[in-house]
Amino acid sequence: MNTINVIDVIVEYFSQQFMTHLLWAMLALVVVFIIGVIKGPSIWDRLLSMSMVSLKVIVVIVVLAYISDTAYLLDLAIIYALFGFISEIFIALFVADRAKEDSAREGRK
Amino acid sequence: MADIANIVGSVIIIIGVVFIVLGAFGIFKFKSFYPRMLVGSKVDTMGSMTIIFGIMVRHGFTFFSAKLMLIVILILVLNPLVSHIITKAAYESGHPLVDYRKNAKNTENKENTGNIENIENIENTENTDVRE
Repeated sequence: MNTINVIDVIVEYFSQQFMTHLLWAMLALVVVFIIGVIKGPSIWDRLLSMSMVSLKVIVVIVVLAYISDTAYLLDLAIIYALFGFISEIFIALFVADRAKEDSAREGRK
Repeated sequence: MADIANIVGSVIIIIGVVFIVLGAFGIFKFKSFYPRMLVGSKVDTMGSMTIIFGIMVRHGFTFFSAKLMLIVILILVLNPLVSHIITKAAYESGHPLVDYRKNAKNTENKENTGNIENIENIENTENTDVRE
């Protein structure tokens, strides 16, 4: 009798409140990686943490779309994935080019 | 049947959350850039894909799950590409391979070039540009 109650509680939790708790956990992880963006000593650490923040935002949008059961929010996630990754690639290439120009101007030691 | 799908999908989602929390721990544990990239990129890609797979299991075989499969394919293709390009750009722009915080402590031995033989002595050597 007691074990049946425990199973019922677990099934109830996983079917009702679990996705809301997952949403809060993902938002907390976004905050953690934003602390990584602020704290990182070089620009490459900041860029790495920023790519992880964009990935967490995609997961947050997917969980929101699951909770409200609206499939068109996933279009937003797809667009966010494409634009986030493309912008990170071009920021990385831009900073690398600028660093190469600076080292060429100063001369090799 | 829906209860079984809920529980299986939730367990898969919890596995993904554990992966992502380990990735966040690795970001704050390692102090140099390249180990941080090594830990963070793979664990984070795997965790996000696992969470989205769990949501697919919970929702069943629907149009919603087809869109989620498209997002999984995009993450699988694009996120390792971004990690590779950030690491390659950092290496080519001269980011040091050795931990830069150890530079201030030990400045006696200036002959280290970052070869394999010298990696065990890294704590006693100066951080130079290892590619030269």
